[in-house]
Amino acid sequence: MGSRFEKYAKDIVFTVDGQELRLKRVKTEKLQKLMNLTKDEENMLVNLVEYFSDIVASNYPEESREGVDAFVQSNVMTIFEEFQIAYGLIKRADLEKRKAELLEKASK
Amino acid sequence: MNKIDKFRGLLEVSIAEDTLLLNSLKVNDLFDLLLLNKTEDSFEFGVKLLYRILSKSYPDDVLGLEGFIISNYVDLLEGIMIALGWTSKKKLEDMKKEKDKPKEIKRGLEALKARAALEADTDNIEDKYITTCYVLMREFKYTRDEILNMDATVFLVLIDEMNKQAEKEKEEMAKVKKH
Repeated sequence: MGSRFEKYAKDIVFTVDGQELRLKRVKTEKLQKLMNLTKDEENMLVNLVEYFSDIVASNYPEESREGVDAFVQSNVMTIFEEFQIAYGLIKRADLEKRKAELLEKASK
Repeated sequence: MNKIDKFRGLLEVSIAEDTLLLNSLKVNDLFDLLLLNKTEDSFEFGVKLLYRILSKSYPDDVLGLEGFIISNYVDLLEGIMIALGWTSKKKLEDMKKEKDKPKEIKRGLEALKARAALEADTDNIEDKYITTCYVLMREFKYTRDEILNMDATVFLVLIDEMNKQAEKEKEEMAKVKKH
């Protein structure tokens, strides 16, 4: 009989700009690193691009690094959101609610 | 779970429409849980701690266990805290409602870090546990290692019993004073 938690060992899969990304699960240390780098609001965008470019590049070694960097740069916030959802760190409904609240706050 | 399970070291936690039975939580784990909100990389520390706890209860199911913990991190911590009597479901729900008020909107990961471990009055709980450890060492001649390796639920029952005993003594003293 398989492990009770087997389904949580599978790759994480999500779609960004019509491209399906299939990523091997990262270690908890790497997730902690993601949490830490979001503390640095000033450099967050640069840090996120670097973080996700590394992950995508290591999962797609046949793609050129320039191509991966450009793809991540263009879609970094979507990748960040979908990554968190795929890991179960946040629910899509909660994220949508927060985004709506942020938009409302910004429009005031 | 019946009443006697408490004495067999069983702790029941409901997660994602599933019920987990933790059967080997030790006093040492309780202190590590209390350390969570004092740790800088608390997520990593928490996942590793939950892995240690769950892998002892489910040694044949470690494949995907880390992913399960990551996906259910907050629910697991909350479930364990409720089962340990550190907080209640209602208290957690009230706190969440309070936090959901849109005064400051946090991103997913930030929100995740802010919840769970920080929501129980851990300093008071830690004080109570440390006091109990000292009483057990002084009165019952337990060693430090014996206490840290004691089943957490047995430890909690002992705290309960000691509290009851203290209350009883207080009442008796009050009666004596009256007479």
